[in-house]
Amino acid sequence: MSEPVLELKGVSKWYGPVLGLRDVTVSVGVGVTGLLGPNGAGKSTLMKVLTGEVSPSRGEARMLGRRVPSEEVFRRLGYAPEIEVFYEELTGREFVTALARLGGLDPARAHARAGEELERVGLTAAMDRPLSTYSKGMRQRTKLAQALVHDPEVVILDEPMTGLDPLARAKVLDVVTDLGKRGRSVLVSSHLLDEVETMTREIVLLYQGQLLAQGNVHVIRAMIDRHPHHVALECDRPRDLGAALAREPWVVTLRFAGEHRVELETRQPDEAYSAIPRVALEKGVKLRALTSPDDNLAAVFRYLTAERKGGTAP
Amino acid sequence: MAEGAIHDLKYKRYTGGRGNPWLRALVVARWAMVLQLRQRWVKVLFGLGIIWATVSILKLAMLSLFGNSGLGSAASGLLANLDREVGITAIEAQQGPTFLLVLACGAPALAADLNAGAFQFHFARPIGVGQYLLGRLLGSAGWSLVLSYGTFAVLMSVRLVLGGEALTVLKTAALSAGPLGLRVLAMTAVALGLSSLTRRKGLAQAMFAGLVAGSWVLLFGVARVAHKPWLEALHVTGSAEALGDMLVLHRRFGGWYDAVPAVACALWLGLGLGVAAWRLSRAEVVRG
Repeated sequence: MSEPVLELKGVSKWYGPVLGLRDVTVSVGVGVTGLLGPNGAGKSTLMKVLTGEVSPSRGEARMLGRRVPSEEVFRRLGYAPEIEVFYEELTGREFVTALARLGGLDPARAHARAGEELERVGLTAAMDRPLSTYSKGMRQRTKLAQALVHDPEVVILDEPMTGLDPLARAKVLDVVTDLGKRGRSVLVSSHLLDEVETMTREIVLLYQGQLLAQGNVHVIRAMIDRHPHHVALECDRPRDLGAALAREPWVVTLRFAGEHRVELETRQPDEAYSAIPRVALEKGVKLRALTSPDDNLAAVFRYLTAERKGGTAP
Repeated sequence: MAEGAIHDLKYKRYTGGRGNPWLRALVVARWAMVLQLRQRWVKVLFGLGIIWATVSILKLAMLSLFGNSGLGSAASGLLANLDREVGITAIEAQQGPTFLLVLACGAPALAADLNAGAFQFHFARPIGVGQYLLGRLLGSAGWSLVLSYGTFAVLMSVRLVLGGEALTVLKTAALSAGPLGLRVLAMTAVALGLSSLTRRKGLAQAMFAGLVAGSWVLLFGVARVAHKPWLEALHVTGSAEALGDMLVLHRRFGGWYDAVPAVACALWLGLGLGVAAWRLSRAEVVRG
């Protein structure tokens, strides 16, 4: 990774008795970095510390080598907060133009750039309508446009995918990955691992205000894979399927749960997911569902927390 | 670490002009005024102000016409001090509408931003609390100032057209222009200060109305009973009006009390903005 663009050094933040962040030291370089954590993990607090919105109770936050808050830093920062409330009487273009002007752009350039960015996020037809008529997805894209309108070097996006339909999601994904390719530093938060994996390989994991892991998503995945991965199968003949799967070398444990359900644990989930449909087909078993209770971030964090404590995953 | 810079890939930092940071206050002000103009109540109040102004102008026109024609002894008596009357009318003509406009636009301004979390958009930009607050002050006072100075300009013009002596009218205009603006700005500053104390727009408006009306009843009542007229000059709007009286009508309280209007006006302005700046500079308060 290149020289850090965003840095937190030993940052703790308390909201009265409530802990927001606990001794977090993390650095982020050029490209897209995913900030992952379940709700309440401290993602928004971390972003607010970086954008100078809240002062850390301890430690310091730096951006582009300068301590935040700093006017020089804010000139080079684009930020889309999680909030959805806008000045409803303004049109999308007026809102983005006004924020571009606050960024220091002259009126003509601000107006032109607002139009370009709103077009880029797919709001060409709606940009002259009042914000009060916008859907949640349109508001998300408007926030993204205002964050990018002054062409910042550092972009911080708090849950930008929330409320987006599939088409809008694809559009935002394109914009974010393109920013990374063009040399911007983008920190994007989410509570969905899969969502972040589509944008980047670099992730930062937060849990209960603490930094749990940072690095390439494959490394994190490998850490996760050291623990048994749960897979639940629903089919018409679970005992036949279970008997066949029990012979596979990647199966660690296997149990039957209910009339049509078999559950297994594996340390090689990739092999398991490719082999299960094949085995079911060979045995003529009708596989109705294949799910993993682990396919959510809370499970990932349970694993990693257990690992940190030197224990075993639940 | 040295100052951060992005070296790799194709990013090229924008090196064009950014404009004077203090001019961004005007962006905030313009933004606020555009938003206000889209609210029905602001349009209604502005319309009310225009009616109010028309009544004042007609009154002045009739006084000038009757006085000049030699008809009506009462009018002739007033005519002797007509230029001074114009000055005071210019300051006080829009008392009601401007109070209501500040109540509608200024009192809820910061409370609404606090409640909406709008500061997350503002303060992640290169704009400081001082610049934002100046913008909010000008934006919240904007339509009141337009209305006040608009009425003022028309009144002075009418006086000139209907026989006023140019030099006298200009002198009156110069003396009354300052108190006129100060009256609106002091009132707006107090509204913003109170607005920064809560996230509830209604509560902010109630506090402002309560302070202005309550202190008026108290101060003007005590001033009458105790025969201490300088107490009136302690009021939020009364201070600027008393200053106008001193400058235009040469009204004096005597001794050190002559300083009361100017000091009170500065105190209200400073106190309102000071409270707002203190609240906004506390990050957790700003961001909600």
